[in-house]
Amino acid sequence: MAVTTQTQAKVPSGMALLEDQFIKRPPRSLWSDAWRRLRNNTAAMAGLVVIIIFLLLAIFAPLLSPHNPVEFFPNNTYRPPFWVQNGVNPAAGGIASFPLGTDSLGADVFSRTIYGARVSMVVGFIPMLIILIVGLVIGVAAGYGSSRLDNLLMRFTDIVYAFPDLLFFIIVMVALRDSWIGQLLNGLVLLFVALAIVTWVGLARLVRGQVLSLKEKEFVEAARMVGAGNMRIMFRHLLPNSLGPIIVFTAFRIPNLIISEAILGYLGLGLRPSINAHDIFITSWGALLLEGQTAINAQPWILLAPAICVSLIVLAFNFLGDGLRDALDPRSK
Amino acid sequence: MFAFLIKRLLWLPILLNAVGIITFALGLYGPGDPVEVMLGPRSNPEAVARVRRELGLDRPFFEQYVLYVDRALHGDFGESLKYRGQPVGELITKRLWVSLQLNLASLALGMALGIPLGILAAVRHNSWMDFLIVAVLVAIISLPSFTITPILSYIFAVQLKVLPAGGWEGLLSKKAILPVIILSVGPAAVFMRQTRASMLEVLGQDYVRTARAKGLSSRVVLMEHAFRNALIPLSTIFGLILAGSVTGSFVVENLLAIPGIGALGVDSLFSRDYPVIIALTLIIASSYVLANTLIDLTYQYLDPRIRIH
Repeated sequence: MAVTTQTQAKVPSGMALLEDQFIKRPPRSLWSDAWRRLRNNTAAMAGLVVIIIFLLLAIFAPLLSPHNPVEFFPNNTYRPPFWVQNGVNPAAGGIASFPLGTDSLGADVFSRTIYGARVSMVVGFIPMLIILIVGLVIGVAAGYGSSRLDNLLMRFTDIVYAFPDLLFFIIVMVALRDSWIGQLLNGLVLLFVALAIVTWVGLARLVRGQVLSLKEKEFVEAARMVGAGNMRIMFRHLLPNSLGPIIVFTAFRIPNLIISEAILGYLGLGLRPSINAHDIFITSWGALLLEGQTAINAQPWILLAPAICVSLIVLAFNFLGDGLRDALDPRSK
Repeated sequence: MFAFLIKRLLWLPILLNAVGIITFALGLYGPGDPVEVMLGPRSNPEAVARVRRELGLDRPFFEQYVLYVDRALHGDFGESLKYRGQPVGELITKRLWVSLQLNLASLALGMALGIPLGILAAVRHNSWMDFLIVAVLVAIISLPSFTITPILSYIFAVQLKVLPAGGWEGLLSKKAILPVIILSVGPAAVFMRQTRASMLEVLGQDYVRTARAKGLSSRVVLMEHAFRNALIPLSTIFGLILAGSVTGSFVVENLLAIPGIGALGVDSLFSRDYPVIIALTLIIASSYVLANTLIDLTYQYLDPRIRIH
């Protein structure tokens, strides 16, 4: 008898415990779970910090750079970085006011590198936005639409996919650089379009695959049964559920865009370097690399500084992308 | 499988035509006249018109295109506008050979490094060696060849003066060391990653346990039972890397002054040498498509469970 009462007394307290710990606990969404996993990933967080630092550099470039990037100091051409001293001729050694030395015209390499971050950042993000819009629309349309539409769109993506991207960027830049669109924003607008025009394909294929597999799932059937329209199913059910792979794709695509811009700049096809001190975009890392290539013996830092920056930012995005993939899809580990 | 092959091969000419027409149109309607580039800025209009007529550049677009395709099918890709009298085919094959040597050597080196490292990482799963191999290679693969090329050439050519800074004297000269190493890093990391992943998957299978249980030496289990099955995904990667390497070496060739098709491509773009550009684009595009088809076929050959339609 006593035993029974004891157990009976225990049951509600057990329930209360269960209720306290699990049922009353605020629900944890997939996203907060993913964020928790991402926070525990040191490499990914380090990548995120590096990206934020570069973003801040890009935004606050005028405040952070010691000189204006187009201010030329005629008596200070090809100064080495501050830690290199010239015993014979102190005037040709490095000084602290030019941390990484100067270029052939006497402009501060450090300041030019900081300003270069601006171009790389917009080139990473703005074409990505175009890619996301085009890729999502075409991918969802192909995956959700009729099989004829799917076939048509996929054959079209096949054609775009067959274009070697780098060669295509170069062809577009060379062909249209001197036309009116190539003049907009010192050539940045054309750069955005050229970079976006062939790279949406990967995303469209990814989204199509996601939509194709998701649209057969029970929850979509249930949604349709309660009378949800096509638009609602696409935007409320299919898209949110394929967001994980799309985010990962974005994280891996951005560094590719940054590299492509640097390569185009190196070939002299990117942003036209400006000498107007009031321009927002004055020079890019690619343009600096081109400048540095010819002066590798006289002043290697014109080349090394942008090369290190591009490497760092690409490394950061790749680490973040890896972390995001593990965080959003725990099964992939 | 046969139907699949036919379908793919029928698709190829449609695709190549689309690529060809787009490149052709950009060349004809884009600003910058190749003939003016060729004859220089101070050429007289009559000479320009005469050369245009000679080259057939004054005919309607589709007539020019059809003429081009007809000649191309007979192996004649026209004449370079920059190097007058040089057939495009000849110009490209010479450069293609350099690029091919470079890429195959790097691919071989990448495999020789990546596959053993991948097996090692999988066998010592979750040990410090596994973590070290993965961390180092993932870090390296993230570095674009575009930026490590100048950094390495600064260190080895300018500072240490042990390697030449650029140029090409055949695969067996000292000048080939830097580009081959740089280009092999990417494939090495990809092969390592894939080998490790598929070895881990295979090593967990029942038949591997059975092989161990019946007392086979671990070398036999690893190489005969596990590795052979782990090879399937590797074949895909091999094809993809081979197809991708054509553009991959584009950058390194330009940075290190290697006379491959990368250097030729950039060079001909700046001189608006469109016959060369179109031929190059077509070669690269068809190598992509053929590589993809080949991958699908080997896939099915290696793993009969996979059926393609």
